[in-house]
Amino acid sequence: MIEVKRGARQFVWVITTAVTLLFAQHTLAAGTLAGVTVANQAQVDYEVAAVAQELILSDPLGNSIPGAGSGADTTDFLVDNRVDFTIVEFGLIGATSVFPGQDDAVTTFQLTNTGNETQDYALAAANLGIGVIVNGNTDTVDMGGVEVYSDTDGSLDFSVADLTFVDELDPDLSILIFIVADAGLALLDLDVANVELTATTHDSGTIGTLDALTTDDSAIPDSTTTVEVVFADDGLGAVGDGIETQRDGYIVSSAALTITKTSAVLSDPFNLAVNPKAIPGAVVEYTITVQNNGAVDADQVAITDVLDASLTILLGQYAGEDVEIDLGGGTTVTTCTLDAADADGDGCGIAGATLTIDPVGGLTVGILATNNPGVIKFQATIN
Amino acid sequence: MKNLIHLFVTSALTLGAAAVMGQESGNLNVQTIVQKEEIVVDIDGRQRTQLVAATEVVPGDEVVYTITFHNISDKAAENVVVTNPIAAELTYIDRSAFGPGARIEFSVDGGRSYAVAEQLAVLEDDGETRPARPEDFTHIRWSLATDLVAGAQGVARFHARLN
Repeated sequence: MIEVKRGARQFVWVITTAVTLLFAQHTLAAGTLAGVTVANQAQVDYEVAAVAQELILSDPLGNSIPGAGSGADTTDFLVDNRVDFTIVEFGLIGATSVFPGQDDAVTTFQLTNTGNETQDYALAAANLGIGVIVNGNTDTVDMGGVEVYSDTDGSLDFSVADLTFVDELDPDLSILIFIVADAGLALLDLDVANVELTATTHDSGTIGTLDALTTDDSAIPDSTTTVEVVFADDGLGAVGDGIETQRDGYIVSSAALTITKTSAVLSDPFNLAVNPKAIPGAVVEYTITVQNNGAVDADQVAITDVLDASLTILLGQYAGEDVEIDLGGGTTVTTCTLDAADADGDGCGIAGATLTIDPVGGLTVGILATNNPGVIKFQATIN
Repeated sequence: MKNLIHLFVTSALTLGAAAVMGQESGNLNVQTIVQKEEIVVDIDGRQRTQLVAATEVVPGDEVVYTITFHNISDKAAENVVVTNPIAAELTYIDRSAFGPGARIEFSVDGGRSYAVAEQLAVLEDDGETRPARPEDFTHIRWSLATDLVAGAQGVARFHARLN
């Protein structure tokens, strides 16, 4: 057995490369780089009448001049451009959650150059049609303002400086692709907007510019001196077209509010608080209940109510103020004043017969029991 | 190491395009061609492989080197030995080396030593020895068992895959 440490081959190649090859050697998953010339030369040693003769090196056209300096050429071939790349969903697998009115909602993909040449890629993004299923979610709506960017600055997040194409992606390297879209205000909880990313292979060469479309060279004569392009990609797109697609989607997560209003007579001038009747002079308490049955908090909840002409607002009934706001069944109880046109600026006011309850800082009716439901109370007397 | 030194010098001179002309011929004419194996479907729908010029080669493709050596003298060539390095970009395809009447051996140490494939082993970084694999081979050597008589032609061939 002849034992040799594995590093030996590498060592020999370091020397050889320096002398014979002008190209750096890389061990790439994508393979030998396009444009590399792979050289080969055989050597023949022999004897004549038991006398060793000078070696003869091979030549593509044949060589019989002995010696290392015969000028025989190596037998070469040029490595061509195998165009191949992949796109996969990145990060969150499945639909990206958005809320109505959300701008620049991002869904992320990863594009990897599995070919052996640096490439540019043109990017396109589009809404898929109603009914198209992605990740088990059936498309019901479209997103607005659909755009696509590559993570040019390597920040792993969409930023305004990102380019709308992939620029100069080396073999074996990956880049993130962002589809950026706006969710309309009219979208409802659990609406689904599926989108599709399409990337098309372009040439490389000019930094910061989408270079020319890469074309397959299968239709033109082969050459040993030029790098030909062979489309080896597959995936959702047609096989061997330099194009790949991948799909993802958005799912709307919205607050779903239900609002109920009830009234109760607290007292009347005759029965006082015992079995009070709704007669003129009676005090009635109105209760407005806002329940959130959706998936996200509802912020900035504002309530407007118009008092019937037969009612007069009764002030100072809740710790000296006029409206009680109870979140989460007593978790948080606040009050505010129904002063004319909200002169004190606390967000609650009355203008004519119209009540506005929109507390400063915003009323949030959430999805947790600590702030759901929101119960608003005020009182009035019957004229 | 002698063989390797010869190769290095040759390559340097080749790159420098310093071809030496008008030297006296040796006894042999040696030629290497490279081709690519391609699967074609004939008119009967049968698949077969054929060798085509290696003009369009991408990673994963298989290339075929054919070395022919022709005795152009009037004397027999004895102990003919053909040595061929395997380029770093290539991986030798197991059992593809072919040479009528030749003992075929491989090197895993850059051509310093040779043995038949089954007898080669490499030492791993962890100190364990394992049998050599085709990707370990750095050189192939064909040693003719008989003389190459005047006018006769020999051939050596191997397949490799582009990394």
